[in-house]
Parts: sequence; C-alpha cells; structure tokens
Amino acid sequence: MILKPIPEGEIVATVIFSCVSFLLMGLVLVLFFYYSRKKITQKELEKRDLEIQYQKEQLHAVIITQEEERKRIAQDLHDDISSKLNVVSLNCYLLNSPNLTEKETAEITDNIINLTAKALDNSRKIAHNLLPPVFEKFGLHAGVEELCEEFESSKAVKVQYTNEINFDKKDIDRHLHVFRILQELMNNSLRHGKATEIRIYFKDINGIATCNYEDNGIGFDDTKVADYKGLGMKNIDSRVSFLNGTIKISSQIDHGIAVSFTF
Amino acid sequence: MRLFFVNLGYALLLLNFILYALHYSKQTKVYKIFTGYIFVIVCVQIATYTCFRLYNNNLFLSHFYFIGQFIMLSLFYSKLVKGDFQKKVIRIGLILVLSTLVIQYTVKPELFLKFNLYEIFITSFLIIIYATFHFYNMLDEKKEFYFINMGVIMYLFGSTILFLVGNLTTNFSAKFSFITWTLNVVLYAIYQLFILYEWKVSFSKSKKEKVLE
Repeated sequence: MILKPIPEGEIVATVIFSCVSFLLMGLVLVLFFYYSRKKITQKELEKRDLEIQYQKEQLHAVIITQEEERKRIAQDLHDDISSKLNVVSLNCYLLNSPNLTEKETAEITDNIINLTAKALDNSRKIAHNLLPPVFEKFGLHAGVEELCEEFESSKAVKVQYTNEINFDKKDIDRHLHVFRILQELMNNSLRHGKATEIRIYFKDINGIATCNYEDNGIGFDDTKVADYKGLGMKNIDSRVSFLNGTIKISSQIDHGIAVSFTF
Repeated sequence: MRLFFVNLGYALLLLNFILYALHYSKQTKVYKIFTGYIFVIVCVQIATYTCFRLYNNNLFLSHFYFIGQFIMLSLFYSKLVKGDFQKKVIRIGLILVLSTLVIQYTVKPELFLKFNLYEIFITSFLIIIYATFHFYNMLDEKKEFYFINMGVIMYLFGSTILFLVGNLTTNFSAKFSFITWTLNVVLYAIYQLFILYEWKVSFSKSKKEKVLE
C-alpha cells in the first residue's frame, strides 16, 4: 500500500494546536489550584472567626455569671447576715446604756444570742450553697444525693437518682462542673419547667461517663433551641466543653426535657 | 481487541442511556439535560455506524459529535454551576463558539470533510474549563455529578489530543491509524464506566427510597 504524503502544513497545524491546548490546559490547572487554595484559606478563616466568636460569647457568659453570682452573694450577705449583725450591734450598745433592769438585760442578751445564732445559721447556709461540704468531702455521688434530698424536702418535686459509676475522688474538679450542671438543670426544671418529677441517671457507656437527665415539665420546642439559650444554658454548654464532653438536649412542648451529656 | 472495546463502548453507552432514561421523569433539570446529552451521543453513534456501513465514510459526522457534545454539555454545566459569573461565561462561550463555527464553515465548507482542529480544540477546551468550574464549586459543597465530571475531564484530556492528530492518522496505514483509534475507544469505554458509576452511586437508590417512604 502506498501512503499519501502528509502535507507539512497539516503537521504544523496539528503540532501548534496540540501545543496550545496542552499549554492552556496547564494554565487551567494552575488557575484551578490557585483559586482552590484561596477558597480553602478563606473558609478556614471564616471557621476560625466563628470559633473566636463562640469563645468570646462563652467568656462573656462566664463574666456575666460571675457578676450575677457576686450580686447574689452580696444580697445574701446583706439580707441574711449584715441586717442581723446590725441589730446585734444595736443591742450591744443598749447593754452599755446605764440604769438597765435585770429583766431588760436578760431580754437584750437573749436577743443577741438568738440573732447571732440566726446569723451563724445563715452564714452556714450561704457557704453551703456556694460549695456543699458533702460534695467536697464525699464526692459527686454524695453531693448529688444531698442535692436531690434538698430539692425533695423543700419543694414539690420527686427526684429519682440512680448511679452506676464509681467516681474517682481525684477528678473532683471535673465533677464540680457536673454537679453545677445538674444544679442548673434542676433549678431550670423547677423554675421554668414546673416539673414535678426529675430523673437523674449516671451510666458508663463504653468507658465514657454519661449523665441522663429527664423531667416532666412543660418543655420547649427543641427545633428552636437557639432562642431558648439563656445564660444558664450557655453556662452548661461551656461547662460541658470544659469537660471535653458532648451534650444533647431534646424536648417537646408539654413533654418535658431530656438532656444527655458525657464527661 | 479493538472490536471488543468498540462494542463495549457502545454497550455501555446504550446501558447508560437506558438507566438514565428510566428515572427521567422524577429528576432535576440538570439530570434531564445530561440524559439528553447521552441521547444525542447515541444518535450520533448510530448515524456513524450506518454511514460507515453504507458509504464507508463517516468523518463528517464527527462535527455533529463535537458540536452536539459541546451544546449539550454547555447546557448541562450552565445549569449545574453556581454563581452568575460562571453561568455567564458558559452562555457567552456557547454563543461565541457556535457563531465562529458557522462563520468558519460558510467561508471554508471543505473543512466539513476532515477533522476541524479549531472545532475540536475549542469545544473540548471550554468543556474542560466548565468541568473545572464545577470541581471548584464542589470544594465546599455537596458532591453532585462528581464522577461524571471526573469522567468528562479525563476523557476530554485524552481524546482531544487524539482527535487533533486525527488528520495525520487518516494518512497513516490502517495498522497504525487503528492504534490511536483503539486508544480513543478505550478512553471512551472508561468515560462511560464513570457515567455508569455515577448512576449507581447517585441515582440507582432514589427509586427504592421513594418506595420505602
């Protein structure tokens, strides 16, 4: 078979087109790489901004909580202790006054003794509220037990508490967060949820300590959970993140609330 | 060997067309355009085969193949990509390429009987750019038509060069010119496999799920 000679122009055209197409495809590749990098960096920056924003919010919540707590303690001190000590000091001045009958002296001393006892009792209560001594001495389990008893005795609520975990006393700093979370949840259940029954259940799931918390209060719509995130909830969130745990809150209107967090 | 791949390519193309056409009515517009693209290719392939049998010359059909592929894939990507800029680029590209080709063929009608290098280059190259757009969009979004996009890029990268040297190979002896065309046919079969895989991953389940619901 005799081959037709290939015209030179044809070969040159082919070579030029091939060369140009390779070049341009290379250019496309380079541009793609350049813009992709830019896009990825931008996404990362956005993510970091979000994280910083979140951290700022948490810090904000911590500061506000601290201030609220100070206000509460100041109020407690002022109402329960300072006022009583004021009366005591007044009574002491009275004792100094001349021409007191024996009966009057006895009355004033009785008053002083009563008021000091009350002030002492109140200061003990305030200290107890700040950090329960049972928790400090005997750990989380005893602390929660006492917390439950307090709620049961003082208010119209039934608390069912089950624990399957043996808490290590070395982790008491971490457990304090758990205790605070439960305190906050129970307060919320009573104050906002109007719950009459609360269940707390500590369980070990594959080596991860988990706490399940349920109540039968009025609940809320958990699809709009962002709207309900008050200071208390933010506080719980930041405590869970301190514990490197996860938290899941589910609730429906009139069906109570179920919270499950790991620590 | 070559015949095997030719038949494999045809069989896969037909299978893809049937599979994509099966779910046609329930799918998005992008999916419909892609099914249309497969349909156009099937038509071109049938025409190619018939012409080869009847006249032993089907080179002029390559223009229908390139232009048909370009129009359908342009429409496909113009629906698929996000953002006004990319859509605009694709629309302007489509109009410009079609008008320049019309001018070229009216000025030089004899180009119709051989491979038109400009046509091969511009249609493949623009589609590669559009596919790159789509890859860029998919960096941070849901993967849609991911495997099809991969297949398009791979096939076009390979086949463009093979078609560009097409005018030279028609002058080769049959033995050598078959080598390049076999290569093209293998690439084509791989491309069809990508399309098939996309169907399996993205669309084969949709029907079952709907039944379950």
